[in-house]
Amino acid sequence: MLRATLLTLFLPLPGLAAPQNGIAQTIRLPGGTDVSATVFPAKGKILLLWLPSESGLVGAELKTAAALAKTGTEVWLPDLQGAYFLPVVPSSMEQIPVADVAHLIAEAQLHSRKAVYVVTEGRGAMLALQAAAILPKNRQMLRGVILLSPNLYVATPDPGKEAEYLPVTSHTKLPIAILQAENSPWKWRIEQLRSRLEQGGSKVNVVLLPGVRDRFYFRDDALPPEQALAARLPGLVLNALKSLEGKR
Amino acid sequence: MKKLFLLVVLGCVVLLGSAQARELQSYKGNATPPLNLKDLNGKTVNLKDYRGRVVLINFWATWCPPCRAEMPSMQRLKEKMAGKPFVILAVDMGETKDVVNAYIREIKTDFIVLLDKDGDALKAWKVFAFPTSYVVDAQGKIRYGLFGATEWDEAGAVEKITGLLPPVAN
Repeated sequence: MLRATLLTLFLPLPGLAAPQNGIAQTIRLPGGTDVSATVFPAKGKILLLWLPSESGLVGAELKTAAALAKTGTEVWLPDLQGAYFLPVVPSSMEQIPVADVAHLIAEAQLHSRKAVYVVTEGRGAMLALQAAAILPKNRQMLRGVILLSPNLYVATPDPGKEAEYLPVTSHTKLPIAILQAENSPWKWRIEQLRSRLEQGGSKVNVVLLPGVRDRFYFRDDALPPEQALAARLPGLVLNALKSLEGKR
Repeated sequence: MKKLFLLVVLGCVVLLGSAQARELQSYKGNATPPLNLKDLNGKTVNLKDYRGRVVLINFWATWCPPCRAEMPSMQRLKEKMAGKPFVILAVDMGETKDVVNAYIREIKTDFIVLLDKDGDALKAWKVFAFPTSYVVDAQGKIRYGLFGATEWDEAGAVEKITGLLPPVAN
């Protein structure tokens, strides 16, 4: 795998507090694409690569990243749609080169020498698993993934037709933590998804989030329980990280 | 100015496209699954008991904004079809009777609401997104399906449902 290059290097100093708005970085990928990323440096041994969903990177994710950095977890948030001049719409997720996402994961690990985990929401799960599947197997570049309300279906089927999972779901061998909103039709299929991922050799931990809908932390119409849980998102992510470490 | 005009035209085409995607589609799935659930009064309702009538089955939840958006039009459809062999069964997904009752009182609908507490009907009817609706003919066969919300009392939906009504006996 060709190395990506971090064009704007930063050296987190001991005791450096994570800036509230993060640090803007540019990562040049082997194909020449420059990916802008917001980085929240931290001194701990874990780096979270927060991939955008079909909704793009949202303010709540940056806020969560800032909170996580304060606890010692470094967070990188690459703007993948922006890197390829794609609109923030669901179909753009299919246009983001999976190989580039794999390069980003590798770069995060090689540059930081930290344990790298990926976190993402919705259709970002597709990118995360597909990228993980093409990472070199002999190196510990990715320790696990955290999927918030993952959409791993090929497409929403016509009424009466069975939904198919993406083939990558049965080829993934990773510790996976799923945080699934309970007020979602996907809640009822979560055991099916768990079983599919486990068939591929993944160790899966599922947490159902009561009283909230998918995208609870960035919905325009968020209800009070959703706003309350959104404020607790850093804690949810940290707990998911702990569950992944336990599954290694 | 020319660019703006093109953008407006493009926007209209996109909007029309999405409106078309929200019309009842001919059903191409398997045979009609069973539907046997309790209503808000605790009475068991079986789809089989409605043979001879056209049935609109709507899978919904109070927390689903598009479901809420189409509910008033379902009530208007019910009123439009009054006296005809037509019934609506709205299947709520996994919520408590109290939550559903409170919402029904708020929007003032009086069609039948069923409670799918454990999601068994959702799985049998292959519901992957809310709302999802099916129209079952008088012989108990699913004829149309729809994922997403629609205006049920508009001409397109009414025409398709009316076309399934059994002939009136003389």
